[in-house]
This record gives sequence, C-alpha cells and structure tokens, in this order.
Amino acid sequence: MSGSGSNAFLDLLRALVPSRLPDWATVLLAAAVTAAVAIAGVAIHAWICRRIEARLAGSVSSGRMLPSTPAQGWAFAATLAAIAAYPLAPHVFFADIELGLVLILACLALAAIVSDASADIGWAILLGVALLVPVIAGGSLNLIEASRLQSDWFGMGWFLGKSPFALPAAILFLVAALGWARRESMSPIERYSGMFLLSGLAATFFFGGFESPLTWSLRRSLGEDPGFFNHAQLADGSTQTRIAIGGLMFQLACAATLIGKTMVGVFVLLWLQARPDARLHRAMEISRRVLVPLGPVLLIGAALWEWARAALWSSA
Amino acid sequence: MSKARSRIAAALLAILLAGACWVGARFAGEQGAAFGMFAWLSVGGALVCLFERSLVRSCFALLVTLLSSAGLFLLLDSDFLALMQVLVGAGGVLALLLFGAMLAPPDPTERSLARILVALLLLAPLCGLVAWRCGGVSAFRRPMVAAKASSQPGIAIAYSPSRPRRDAGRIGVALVDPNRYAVAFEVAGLLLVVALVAAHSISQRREDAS
Repeated sequence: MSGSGSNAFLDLLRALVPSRLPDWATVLLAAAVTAAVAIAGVAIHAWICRRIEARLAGSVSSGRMLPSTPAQGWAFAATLAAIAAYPLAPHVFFADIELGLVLILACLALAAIVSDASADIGWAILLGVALLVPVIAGGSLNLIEASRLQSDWFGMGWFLGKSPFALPAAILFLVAALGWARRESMSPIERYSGMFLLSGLAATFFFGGFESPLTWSLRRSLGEDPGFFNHAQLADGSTQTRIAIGGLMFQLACAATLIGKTMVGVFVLLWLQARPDARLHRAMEISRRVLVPLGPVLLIGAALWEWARAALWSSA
Repeated sequence: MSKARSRIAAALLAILLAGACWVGARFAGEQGAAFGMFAWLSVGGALVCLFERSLVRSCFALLVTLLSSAGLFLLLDSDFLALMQVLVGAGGVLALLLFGAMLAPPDPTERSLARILVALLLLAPLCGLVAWRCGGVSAFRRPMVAAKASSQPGIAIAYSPSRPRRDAGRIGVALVDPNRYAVAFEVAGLLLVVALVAAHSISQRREDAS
C-alpha cells in the first residue's frame, strides 16, 4: 500500500517473514494479525469493563454483550472501524492515518446514526468542538504526531497545560463523552469500545499521549525515535537486521503509558455512570447549557491565544 | 416468494462481488482487488437502494454506496476526501435521509419499475460523460505501477513506519487562499449558516404555533 495509512503489522511482517512468501500472502497474514489483535483487545477490554461495572454496582454482571439487532451490529462494526486510528505505540499501529481524530469521530457519529437515527448527535459535535482546542494548540490531527508534540517539559508538556483554554475544553469533552455513553440502544460491547476510543482521544490530545517522564528518560538515553530494529551493514556489503532491545522497551513503555491513561479515563467514565444519585444528570444538564455556548468561545479564544503567542514569539 | 427472490438477488450480488475482486486482482494485484470490491459495492449498493422496497433498507444500501466510494478515494491516496465522505456524505446525509424517511408519509408509487428505468436512462448519458471526462480507467492504471514496485522479492528491510503525508494542511491553505477557493469556501459557509438560521426560525415558529 501507499505511504499514508500504512499498517505497522504489514511492515513488520514484511521485515520478518522469509522473502519466499508471496506478497499477497503477507498482506493476508497482516490482515489476519491486525483483526486478531483488534478483536482480542476489544474482548479483553469489554471483559475488564464489565468486571469494573459489576464491582461498582455491587452486583454480579449478566446480560448479553454482543449486538442483538442488525442496526446494533452495524453500529458496532462502525466502532470497530474507528479502532484503526488508535495507536498502540509510536511504531505499532493498525493504520497511521493523517486525520486519525476525524476518522474516530466520524465512525462514532456514524455508529450513533446507524443505531438510532433519532439519537442525540449533538454530543458528537460537542466532542469535536472540545477536541479542536488542543488541535489548534498542537497543529496535528494525527494521534501519534499529536502525542509527539507533547514530549517537552520532561514528558509533561501536555496540551492541558499549554493553553489556558484546554482545561475547560477537557471538562466539556468529559461532559460530552458522558452524554455519548448514556445513549440507549447501544450494545454493551459497543459502549465499552466507544468509551475506550473517547478516553484514548482525551489521553492523546489533553493528557500527553505516549509521553510521560518514563518515556522522556528512555528517549534521553536511546535517541529521538527509537525503533525495533538495528540496521547493520556487514563487511561483505550485505545488511543484517537485529532486534533492538532498547527500542522495544521504549515502544512497550509508550504502549503502557497510553493504555494506562486510557484505562484511567474509562474508569472515570464508568464510575461517574455508576453513581446512583440523580445529581449527575442535573449537573450534566447545567453544564450542557453553559458549556455548549462556551465551546465556540473556547475555540476562538484558543485560536487568538495561539496567534498572540506566535506574534510575541516572533517579535522576541 | 419475495423472500426467496431477495435471497437469490443477494447471492447474485455476492457472486458478482467475488468476480469483481478476481478481475481486479488479475489486472492490478491486491490494490486491483480492493478497487474491484469497492467499485462493485458502490454499484451494487446503488442498485439495491433503487430496487429495495423497504425505505430503511434502501437507506442502508445507500450507506454502503457512500462508504465504498470513500474506500475508492482511499485507494486514490486521498485520505481527506475519504474521511469527509464518511463524516459528511455518510454521516450527515444518511441522518437527514433517515429523519426524512421517518417523518414523511410513504409513497408506494415512487419505486415502480418504470420510474426507476426512466431515471436510469436519463442518468446514463451523464454517467458516461463523467466517466469519459474523468478517465475512470486511470484508477486501474495507477495501482498497477504501485503493485509492480512493491512486489519485489525483498530482503529483510529495517522497519521504520512511514509517516503519513500531509495533505490536509495543503487543502486548508488552498481553502483560505484568496486566489484559489476562498470565495467558494465562504459562499458555502454562508449557505450553511443561512440553512441553520432558517431551520432554527422554522422550529421556533412551530413552537409558537403549538
């Protein structure tokens, strides 16, 4: 395939499998590996979510997990398609899409429309408006690139602290995500994977993505963008590839950081939904009334802030 | 009877899908197979959308058509267009159509065979013109080159992922460049604002009346 939207598993298999294998077989193998990883991840995540939910509710969970109507099946398929843009590590991803954020939001909105047309699609718009604030601060819609842009300040240069408008935008995102997750007519597995995607977006665009002091220190000793393989040129002119342990460690640390942040977000969403009091609903109603008009104001403010910063920076 | 007929139609469509994939693979490798699949899915979705009796089902067939044309855009290396197709084309238009389908009274005569055939006959010259002007064959030509380039029996290469190209930035600059699309972009934005204000005022009037 072409450069854009490449699949890391395909590239890895091309580098690892014997060259006798025909190309179409490698492609099919990569597709199988990609699907297996995605489905296993979704299943494990759904199981964990169900356990957490049961623990929070103080009961044993039951009921069906999978979609029960064709419309729910379509919606779940759209959600699965959105997982393509979620990166596992800087060098391990299903597809490195330039507009990953747009892909995830488009697929989630599509899932909402397909499962019931009367759904409150306004939540999807709010999610997009909230995420545009860090996008303006960083300037990238690609999840890997956006988290790379937050690697300064000892790995704590998160967009949350880079713009004064990011914190209200994060609160707006939380409210919109809660509203999104409260929709009925969703199969539980779709709800869990959608929550995973949304809190993954929040982790990437507000809370630093792969970046943490751990990855910052690893990067200090390993170089800017440590990869899996070392590429050695031998004396007879041939090349040899060796697995680089340091790069592997770095990718693992990145994956652990992002998945950890994502799971914290999922836990917060589950916990807020499991609270039995009705005050949450009222708080959400109020915050919706306040925050929805605030969204465009935040956008304009963030843009002006970036413009002023650029102007001051160039004059200094 | 009608159930059996629809099953036969579905089986026929599936067989034709496999055939399209095979032909594409013969012409241009894996990219050709993907092109055949998306091309046939968009045509087949449009056919189902035309001939399906149930309005909701034909809306979903239209969804297949729109999504597979997004796939065609992806094959042509146009990520931005593909995602906009998913977001606006599939998401927005489909939501609108489903709303319309729910609110409008059903019209049993609108799907009569004669009407569909007349519409197809009227549309055929337009489709031919578009295909001739835009050179639909070029979609086959490009992937063949790419398939040749990538199917070299390679030695193990050091793995470093290729960064995505940056098209969105250039599209954004082109949209605000006064010499290119700024005026068209502003006009489209103004049109959407007018539509939003109109929708709001209409709903306000309804609320006042009730």
